Amino acid sequence: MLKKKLKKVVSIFQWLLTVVLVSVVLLLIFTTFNPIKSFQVLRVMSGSMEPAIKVGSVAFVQKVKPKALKKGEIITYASAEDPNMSVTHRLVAIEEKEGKTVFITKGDVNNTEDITEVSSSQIKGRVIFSLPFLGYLSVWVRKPLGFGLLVILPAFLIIISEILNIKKAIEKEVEKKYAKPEKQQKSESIGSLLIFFLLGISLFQIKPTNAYFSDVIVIEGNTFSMADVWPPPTPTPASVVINEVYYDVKDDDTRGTENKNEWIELYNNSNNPVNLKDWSLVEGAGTVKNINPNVSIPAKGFIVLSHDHSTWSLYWSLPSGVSSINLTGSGEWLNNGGDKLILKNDKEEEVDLVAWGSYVPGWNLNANDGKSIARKIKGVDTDSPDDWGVLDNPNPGTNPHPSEEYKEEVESVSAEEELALEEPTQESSEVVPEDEVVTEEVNEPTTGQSEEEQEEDKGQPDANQDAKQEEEQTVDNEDSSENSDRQNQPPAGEPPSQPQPEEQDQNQTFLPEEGSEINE
Amino acid sequence: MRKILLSILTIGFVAIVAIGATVAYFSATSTVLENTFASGNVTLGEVWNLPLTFGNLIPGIEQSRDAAIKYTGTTPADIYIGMANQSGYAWYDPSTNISKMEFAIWSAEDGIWLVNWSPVKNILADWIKVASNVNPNTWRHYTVKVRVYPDVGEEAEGQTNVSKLIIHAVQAGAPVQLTGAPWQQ
Repeated sequence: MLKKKLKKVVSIFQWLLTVVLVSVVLLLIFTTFNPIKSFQVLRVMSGSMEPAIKVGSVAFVQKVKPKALKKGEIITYASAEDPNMSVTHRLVAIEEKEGKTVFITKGDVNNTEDITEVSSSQIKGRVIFSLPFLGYLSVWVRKPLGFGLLVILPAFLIIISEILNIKKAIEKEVEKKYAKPEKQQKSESIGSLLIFFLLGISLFQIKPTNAYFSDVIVIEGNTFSMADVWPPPTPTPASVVINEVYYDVKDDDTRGTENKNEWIELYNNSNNPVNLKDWSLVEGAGTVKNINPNVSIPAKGFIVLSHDHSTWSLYWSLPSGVSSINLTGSGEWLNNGGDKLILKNDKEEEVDLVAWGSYVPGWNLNANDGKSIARKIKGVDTDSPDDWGVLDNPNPGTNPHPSEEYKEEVESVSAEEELALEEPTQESSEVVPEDEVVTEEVNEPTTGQSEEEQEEDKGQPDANQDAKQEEEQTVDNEDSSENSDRQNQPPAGEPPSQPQPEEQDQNQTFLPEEGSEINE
Repeated sequence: MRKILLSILTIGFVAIVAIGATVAYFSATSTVLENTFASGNVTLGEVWNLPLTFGNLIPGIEQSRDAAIKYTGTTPADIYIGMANQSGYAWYDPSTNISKMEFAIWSAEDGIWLVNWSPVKNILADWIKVASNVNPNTWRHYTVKVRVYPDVGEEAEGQTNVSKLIIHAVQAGAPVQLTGAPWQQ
């Protein structure tokens, strides 16, 4: 009697299990493969919607029109970042912005609303219910063991079983006998396998949805205050300047052609080499020539640029130690009738400008047919056309030889500089009168006043500027240190400072301070 | 005969579905996010040296401040920041698209400039990712530099701006597109 009852209970349990399994399979098959996509099944990969939807659940999403959505419902929408990915969060507000409806969503366990708004076109539908744990099974099916056990193995067994059935049927067809009980037994076996197979396939097809976690804090009261009184602007001298420009190539073919052999000379007025990579030259019409090689211009040194290396190998000779850069271009570049040339550094900041032929008002230099324009004194830059003159005999890579027209002007400028020196050298003050020294420098710059003395003279403005910059920097540093002293009071026992950037204020440390205020 | 036909159809159906699924299995380019479940939480905890205070700004001269954020969530997260104007002088005018200040952000942990002198517009008009896959209970340290453009007009003299800094932590790899102006928050 008890045995019979037990058999009955087991039978009922088997039936219930089969019904549940078949229902789930049918539901999954319907939602996964339904052609009108009225429903969608998604596995929930994260837990910001707990406890409403547990992580690892499978959510059944009903396709609805965005207008039908109500505040408080859990919705699924396509990610704006990746339309193949979806997000499942609760709808907390519906707003009209610029004539469009936007949906504000939030994960139930998140402290704040989602930072991005959802548009109508992103809405996939509302979640009508979810089944726990099936999501884990769905991920397991996507792994080798799960895929093998729930897809490949059932498929293999079904096919083998059916092949055996065909074989038996053929044999019985021949014998003209059919065994009904055996037939029923076979079909039951295939039915179970089919359920497992379809379950595996359905689970494999389920796509993920993300109920992601997030948090937002808002720190209010960040202040940026300008000084009440600004110091007068102090022009910072460019360390690298355009020193000579040969824009009108001599017509007699002794110096090459306009297409290839125009050249520009740069001079580094500072005491340190300057890397010219990614610097550029921009001509009046806007044509940009980038300096691509990783090449440096030496301190107090020259570098020359042209379209073609043949400029230096065939038409001009360069002093030893002077590098040349091929700007790799062709065609006429600098306009002989009038043009301007801007030197920009790697941050695209304008470093120097020169113009000729009245292209820029006040810049009336003309150096046609084989002449060049050059700074009267190398590196001296007051942003004025008066710094420049015309050279009858261009001289790439060296201190320019000023032409007769402005020789006297150079003399007077140089004499003033000499007088400005508080401690002239014993040699120059006793042996040679100042005027003679200047004259020698102008006429024979490479053999008169020594190069070192010239550098010393030109170095004086740099030193003054450095002092000014240091003074400016001191103002900034004082302000920063004052702020740092106020802010940096790390509690004892905190971890050591983190690595600092190169230009970091040295007295600041990366030590977290407890009790900092957070405004949420 | 009918039995044989039914068996052949069954074999055909199962074979086609199984082959299709196998092809899909091997061609699937699923991401970690698609196959990894995440539970826990994402929370931002303490901050250090915030809010930022820059005073006595002079055009062309940079100032720098250090700040830090502590991530206190239990699952790895990405961190974004944005700024929104609260009151006072506007360093960026959306109508003219002109920024009057530039900024730079150094990440101490990554050892790189996340932003290397960029117009202030870029932090006011969009989110900036400042950390990826941050582990729980981790401090992230930053140096923020600002520099007013040298050509800013004299009307900026003595002006003060107050802004809010929005720090947003999102579960690492979540399909969230942080675009648009943080000032809408």
